Amino acid sequence: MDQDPPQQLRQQTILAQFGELALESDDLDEILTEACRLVGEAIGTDFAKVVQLQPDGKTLLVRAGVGWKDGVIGVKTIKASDDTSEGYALKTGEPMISPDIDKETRFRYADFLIDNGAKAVANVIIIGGRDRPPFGILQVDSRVRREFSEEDIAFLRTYANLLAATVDRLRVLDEIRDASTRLRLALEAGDLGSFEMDVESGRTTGSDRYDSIFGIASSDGDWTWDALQEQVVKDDQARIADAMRSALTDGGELRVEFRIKRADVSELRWIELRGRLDDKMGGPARLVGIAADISDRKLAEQALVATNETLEAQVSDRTISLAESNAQLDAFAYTVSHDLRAPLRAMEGFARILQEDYAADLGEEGNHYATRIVGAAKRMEGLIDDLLAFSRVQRVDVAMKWTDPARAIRNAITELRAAGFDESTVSVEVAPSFPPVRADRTILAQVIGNLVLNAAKFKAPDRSAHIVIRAERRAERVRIWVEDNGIGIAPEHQARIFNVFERLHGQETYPGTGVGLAIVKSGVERMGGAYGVEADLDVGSRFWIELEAAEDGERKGVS
Amino acid sequence: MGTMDDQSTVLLVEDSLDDADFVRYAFRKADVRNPLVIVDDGDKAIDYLLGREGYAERQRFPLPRLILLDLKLPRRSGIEVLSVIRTTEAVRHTPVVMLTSSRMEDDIRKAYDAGANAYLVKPIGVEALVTMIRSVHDFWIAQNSAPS
Repeated sequence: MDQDPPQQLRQQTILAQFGELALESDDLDEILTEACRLVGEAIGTDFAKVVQLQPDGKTLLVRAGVGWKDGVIGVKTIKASDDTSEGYALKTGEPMISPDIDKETRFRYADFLIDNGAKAVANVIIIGGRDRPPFGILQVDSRVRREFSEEDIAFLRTYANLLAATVDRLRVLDEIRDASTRLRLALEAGDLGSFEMDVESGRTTGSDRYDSIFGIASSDGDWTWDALQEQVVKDDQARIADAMRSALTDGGELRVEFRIKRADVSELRWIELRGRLDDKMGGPARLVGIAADISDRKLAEQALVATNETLEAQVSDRTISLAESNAQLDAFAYTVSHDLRAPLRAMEGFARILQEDYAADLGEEGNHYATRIVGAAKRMEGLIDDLLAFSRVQRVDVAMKWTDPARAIRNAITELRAAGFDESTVSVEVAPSFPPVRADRTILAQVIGNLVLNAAKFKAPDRSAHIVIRAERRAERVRIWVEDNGIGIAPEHQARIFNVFERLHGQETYPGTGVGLAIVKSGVERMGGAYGVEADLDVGSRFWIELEAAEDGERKGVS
Repeated sequence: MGTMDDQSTVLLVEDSLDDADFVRYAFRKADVRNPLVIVDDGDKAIDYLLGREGYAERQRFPLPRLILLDLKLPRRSGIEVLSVIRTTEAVRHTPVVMLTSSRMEDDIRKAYDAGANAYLVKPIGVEALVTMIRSVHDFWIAQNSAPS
C-alpha cells in the first residue's frame, strides 16, 4: 500500500511528542486524553477513546477520549465479550479493524458509538505490566468508511505499546507512593523515627522524628554513629557498641535499648534502636532501621517492677504475720481451753463440796446459791467449748474428700443421745441413704451435729420433738435437710440466727451460747457450700445445707 | 490401812492451790490417812527430796512413800523433777504417779521415758477425783511393794 512520506513523518513526530508528554506528566487522565487527541492527528481520524478493563475482567469503561458527545467519557461501558470488536481485540491481542460498521457481521457495536457517528473503527490492545491483565483498548474512530493501512496499524501498535509502558510506569509510581505513604503513616502512628546509616563511614540520615528523638537539629550530613554514641550514658555504651558489632558481623540484626542525654531535655531518655543490615544492592553496605523513644514504657516497666516487688514483700510480710497470728491464735485457744477452764472447774468443784459436805450449815438459800455457782460454771464451760469449736472451724485446714453424710448423721444422733435427748422426747427419722458429697469430714460432722442439736433443742412445749433428716440432689449439688416440728422462727429473725452469739430466747427457756448456727454457717462457707432455713412460727424449722455432689469415681480411702 | 511408818508420807507436787485443795479433800473423803506434803514448784520438790534448803530435817520432812507429780510446774517441769528422782539414790525406786491435766500423747511418752510409774489425767468433778485417789491409795500404798 502506498504511503506518502508526509504522513509517515507526521506519525514519527506524533510519537516523539507523545513520548515527551509521557515522560513529563504523572497524570494518567491527561496522558490518555492527549494520546487520543494525537492519534487522530497521526492517522487522520475524527475521534478516539481509551477503554479500560475493569477489575471484574468483563467490563470496559470509556476512560478517556476526544470528539465524543457528553455522557460517554467515564460513563459508557462495553462488554469485553467475543461479539464486540473491543472484547475480541482484548482476548486475541491482535488489532481489530472494521472499515465499515454498517457491513460488519462479526461484531456488534455499542449504540453510543453509532450514535456518535462512527463508521469505521480500529482497536489495538494496551497491554498491562508484567504478569498483569491488559490495561484496555485504544480505539480510533472515523465518521466516514475507510481502510487502515498496514503502516497505520503498525503505527497504532507502536503507539499503544508506548501508551502501555507509560500507564504501567504510572501504576508502579502509584504503588511506590502508596507503599511509602503507608510506611510513613505506620512510622508516625508508632511514633518511630527511621534512619539509614552508611556502615563504612557511620554517616546517618534520619527522618524528622529520628532527629527529634535524639534532640538534634538535623541528621542530614555530618551526623555519625560516633556522635550518637557520645550521647549515650556511660553505663550503656558498651551494650550499644556490642549490639552494633554483632549486627554488622553476624546475623545483621540490630536490636538495642539504651539511655541518652539529650541537649534539649534534662532527664535521660530511653531509646530503642532496631535495624537490618542491607548489603544486597551491590552498593555500599548500610544499616536501615527505626528508632523509638521508649522512656514512658521503661518508666511504666520500672514502676511495675517496683510495684511487684512491693506487693511481693507485702504478701510475704502478711503471710509471715498471718502465720504468726495463726500460731498466736492456736496458743490463745490452748490457753483458753486449759487455763481458763481450770479455775472454772475449781469453782464448780468447791461449790459441789459445799453442797455435799456443808449442806446443813448453808441452809436452803445457801444451797440455792451453791447450785447457781455450779450452773454458772457449767454454762461458762459450754461457752468456752463452743467458742473453741467456732474458732477451730474458722481456722482449721479444710481437706475436701468424698464423704458419705450418713456417717456424720449417725455421729450427730449419738451425740444428741449423749447430751440427754432420749428417744421418748426426741425422735429422729433418717433417710435410708444419702448422695455422697465433697466435704471436710470433721467440719461436716460439726455442722450436722449442731443442726441436729439445734433441731432437738427448740422443741415446742406441747408436743414431743420429731426430726427428719433427708437429702436431695440438685444438679451438681446435694442439699441436706434437717427438719423439726419445733417452735419455728419468725420471718424477721430468720436472717440473723446464723450470726455468732445471736440468741432469740432467754436462758431459762432455751439455754445456749448462740454459737451453734454460727459454726454451721462458718463450716459450710469454708467447704464452699450454702446454707439456709425455711421456718414457720409454731410449726417448725427446716434447715438446709448444700454441698458439691461427689461422684463414686472419687471414692478413695473411705473407711 | 497401810503402815504408818516414816515411809508413809505422800508428796504432792502441784502448783495449783485449787487442785492441791481438791487432792487434800479427796484424801479426807477417801479416808486416806497418809500424811500429805504439798510443794508448789519443781525446785522445792527437788530440795525436799534431796533434803536441802529448808527440808534438811528428815524427821519433819520424811522421804515419801509415793510421789504425785504434776507435769506443768513453775521453775522446773515435772519431767525434770522426775529425771532428778530417777538419778538420786535415795528415791530412785520411789513410785511416781503423774497427775496432770494434759492428755497429750507427747507428754505421756516423755513421762514414761523419764521413769514415771503411772500417768493419770486429773478427772473432771470432785467425786471422780475421790474415786481416783482411793484407787491410787489401794494400789500404790496398800498393795504395791517397793524396795525400802
